Amino acid sequence: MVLLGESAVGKSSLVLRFVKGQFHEYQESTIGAAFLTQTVCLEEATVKFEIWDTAGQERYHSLAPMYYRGSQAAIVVYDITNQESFQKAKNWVKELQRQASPNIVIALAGNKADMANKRVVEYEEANAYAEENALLFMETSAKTSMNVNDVFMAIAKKLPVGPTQGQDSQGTVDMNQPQQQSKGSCCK
Amino acid sequence: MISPPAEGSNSTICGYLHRIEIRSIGLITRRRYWFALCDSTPFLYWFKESDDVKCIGRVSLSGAAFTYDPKEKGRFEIHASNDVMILECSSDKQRNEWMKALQNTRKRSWHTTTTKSSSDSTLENISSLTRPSSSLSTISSPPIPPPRSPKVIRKDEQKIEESIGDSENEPKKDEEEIEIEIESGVAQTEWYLNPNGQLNERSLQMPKVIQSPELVIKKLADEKIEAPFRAIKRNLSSWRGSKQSTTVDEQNTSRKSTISGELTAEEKCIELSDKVGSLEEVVESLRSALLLSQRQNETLTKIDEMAGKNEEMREYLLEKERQMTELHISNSLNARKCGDLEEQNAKLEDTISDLQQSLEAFRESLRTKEELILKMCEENGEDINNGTLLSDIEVPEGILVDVSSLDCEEATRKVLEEENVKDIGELQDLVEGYRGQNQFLNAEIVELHNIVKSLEDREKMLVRKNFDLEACYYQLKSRYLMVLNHFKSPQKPGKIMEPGVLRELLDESATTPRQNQQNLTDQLGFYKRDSLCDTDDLLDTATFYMKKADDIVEATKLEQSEEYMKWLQSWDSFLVNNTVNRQLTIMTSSDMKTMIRTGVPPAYRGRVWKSIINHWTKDKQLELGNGYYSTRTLPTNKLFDEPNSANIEKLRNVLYAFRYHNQHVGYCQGLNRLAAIALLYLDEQDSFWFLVSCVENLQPEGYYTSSLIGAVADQKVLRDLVAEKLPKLAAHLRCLEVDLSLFALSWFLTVFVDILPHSIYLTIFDTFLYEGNKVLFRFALALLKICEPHVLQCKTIGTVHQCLSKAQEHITDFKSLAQVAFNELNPFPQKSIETKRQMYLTQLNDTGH
Repeated sequence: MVLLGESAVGKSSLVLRFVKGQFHEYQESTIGAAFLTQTVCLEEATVKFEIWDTAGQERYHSLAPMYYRGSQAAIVVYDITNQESFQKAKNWVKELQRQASPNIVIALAGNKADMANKRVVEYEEANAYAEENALLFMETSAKTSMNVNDVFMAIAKKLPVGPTQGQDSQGTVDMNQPQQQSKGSCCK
Repeated sequence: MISPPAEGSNSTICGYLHRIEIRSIGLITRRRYWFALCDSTPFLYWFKESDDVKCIGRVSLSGAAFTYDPKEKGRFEIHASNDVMILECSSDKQRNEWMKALQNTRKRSWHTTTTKSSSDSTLENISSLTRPSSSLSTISSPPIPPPRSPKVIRKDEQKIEESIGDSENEPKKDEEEIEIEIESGVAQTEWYLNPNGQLNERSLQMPKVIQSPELVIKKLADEKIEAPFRAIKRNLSSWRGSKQSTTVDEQNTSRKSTISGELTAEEKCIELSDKVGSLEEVVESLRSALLLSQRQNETLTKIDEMAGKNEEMREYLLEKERQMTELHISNSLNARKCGDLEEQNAKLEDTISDLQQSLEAFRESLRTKEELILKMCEENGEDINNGTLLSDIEVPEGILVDVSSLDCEEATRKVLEEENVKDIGELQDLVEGYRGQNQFLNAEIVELHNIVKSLEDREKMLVRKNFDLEACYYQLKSRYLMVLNHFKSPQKPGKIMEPGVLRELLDESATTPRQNQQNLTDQLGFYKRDSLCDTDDLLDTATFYMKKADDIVEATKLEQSEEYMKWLQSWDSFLVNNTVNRQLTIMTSSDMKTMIRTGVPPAYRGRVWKSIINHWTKDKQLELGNGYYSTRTLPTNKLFDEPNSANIEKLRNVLYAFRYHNQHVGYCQGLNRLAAIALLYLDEQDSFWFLVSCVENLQPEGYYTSSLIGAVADQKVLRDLVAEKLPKLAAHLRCLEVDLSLFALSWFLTVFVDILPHSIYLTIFDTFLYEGNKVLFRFALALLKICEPHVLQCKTIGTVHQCLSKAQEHITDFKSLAQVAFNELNPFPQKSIETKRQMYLTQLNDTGH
């Protein structure tokens, strides 16, 4: 899967929280893309995430197709305190719908939910857009880890049980499980 | 030929000097080298030529002493570690500059060592084992006894004595003796240091013996005057001798002789009067004989009258008469003789008086001459011209002095005078020189003494530290034995330790003095990754510490290895020459390239980088002027206020400045990495230029522009190179449809900052700065080559991705990586990369990337 979105919206932070359970206030900007993996087990299967965390800066945009071309899922991230990033997210969604594989699962994540006092992108607005385009939608916070795992889980559930996932079901996985504020639905 | 040494607070100096070596056979070689001295290092390096990268030799100045001989023009000596190095520069002025620079460098070097050691000592105090009482007791150690006669002076004396042996010039010898007197007088007076080790008040004054140069000159002059005086005396006696011989031959020649001595006249007088006396005696005897014969005559006549024998009587009378006349004749003859003698006597007396007169005159003339010489001696010292004036003054010579001898004497006098004038001028210079030398040596001794003292202090401190460490070691050993015992016999009651004790011991062993110095970050501020995770397993903890201990031992070993030392030295020598010699560009030689490929020592990295950057951006910097960097107009954006790091502000400044400078590139993510790396070693301004040279000189065009087209093209070039150099890997990747550029793009954009540990990528930066973009291909391929066997084992795209994303795990150190990059991958022609790049660039442009 691939993470897309404007720079400094928290793509790397989301992945880091999901994969390592860590959070850095001053996460380094990503150059090109970073590759991380995480395995989670659902009730029926074990899903191994191979995550491409892409660079957000506009000039790296042209490289994005390399990363989402073979992806089965994408998380488009925006920053709820930044209207422009939401607009950018919409563009990403459009591009994915146009150019990525047709049955790609797209999730929209409004990150930095912990900074609700600075919110400029309303939940309803984003939610409406997501429903319009048949996207998964959640507001997340990599800082508090709110909804982070959930968004990945939701994607995992929506993925078709394909050959890629099927053959990766192996052994137990040491799953990071920070305290969840909401509907945690993993490894039960 | 010699470039003017840069003046200022630093002691940077360079130039061609002659090194004079005296070989064992007595052969003296004199070679010309380029010498360079820089305030950053306590070594004096010399090179064959000014633009050489590698030095021929070096000498440590930290324990060296310097001296010079004022008689040897431009020559000075460096005494270091039982060796003497003799150098010669073209003038005394230059020598002074060199000496000053050498002293400054030495001072700086021991200042830094002492400050370093003092900081060490504070660190050492952290050690729980340090007892403050012991340090107090060592501090109050007895004062160092003042040095007796300084060695340097001793040596000088010896040298002077040697030179005396060489010189045959007599007056010079006199000078030397006097100088030795002065020198020894210096040595005898206690005047360098008082018993407390402080500077004696009078230490910098001239010693009593030579309180003023005028006195010395006078003394010298006094000694000198005797020489002509003696010569005159000698002359006189020789004249006397010749005169005596003439008087023996002929008495009357005395008039002809010129200035005869008093003694000669008197002797003559006595002789003459003796003769007169003897003649008078003769006259007296003759008179008495006459009287006697008259009386005889009377008696005979009486007998004649009485006897009356006529004929016999007549005969007898005639005979008597004849006798009488004979006696008369002899008498008158004698009288005449007497008169003659008397006349002669009177004449002689006249001569005597004449001679006495001439003697008086001569004495007078002698006196005036003496005065003259004295006057000349004094005045010549001040003004040589006076001497010539004096020679014109009429000297009342003796009346009887004849012309030839006058000429002779005047000639000798003139010669002597000239010699005096020259000698005294020279002497004054020499005295001045020795005075300078003396002062210099004094300062030298004071400084050396300080150095010795500080070194002693340091030694004491090290000994103390050593004791502490030893104590610590024994403590740990005893605990170790305790633990060992515990494990050996766990059944024995009393030896079983409580569960917490072992843990405590481990924690304690982790806080040895050495550990205290290390914080969570290393010198550059990178967080240490090997910090212990929270495990409760004692064995894990133990292995962790064991590994750490091994690492420390390894690191120390490496730092002490000869290879490492040589490496440091070669860099040091290069940098010294580079700093002092502005013409020496860093980019010129292949030596430089090889050296850079071994990496730059962290301590020198900043300076090396700076000079490389200067090389790249020199023209731009010149064109834009010095204040260019600081005149950036973009204000810093206050929205990104992250006060957690001191460098953030600087980094932002650099990046904003760059964005303003190169609006075509602007800000590209990745540049922040480069700028941050630069800020580790350089200041803001240089970091800016670092960034400029990276983007505009080192990387090909279009690397960081809005489309990253250059970087993308290079990925394609890399793919081709992989196919060429690592065909197996390329085939494997192609088979699994893995796109290498997914990973390698960031390698190229950030010069491996994102994937390799900083100890390695900083060294890659060294070579990158020097050689440019090409080394990125080298290292990327080397990285892939090292990973190749692991990648080949991966059977799915996912595992390959994972393997490549962890490529750095297979890289252990820079050396092995560099070995692959620079040796095993050869040949590596720049040209083919260039053509490939151009091809892909046009291709990308055509497809409207």
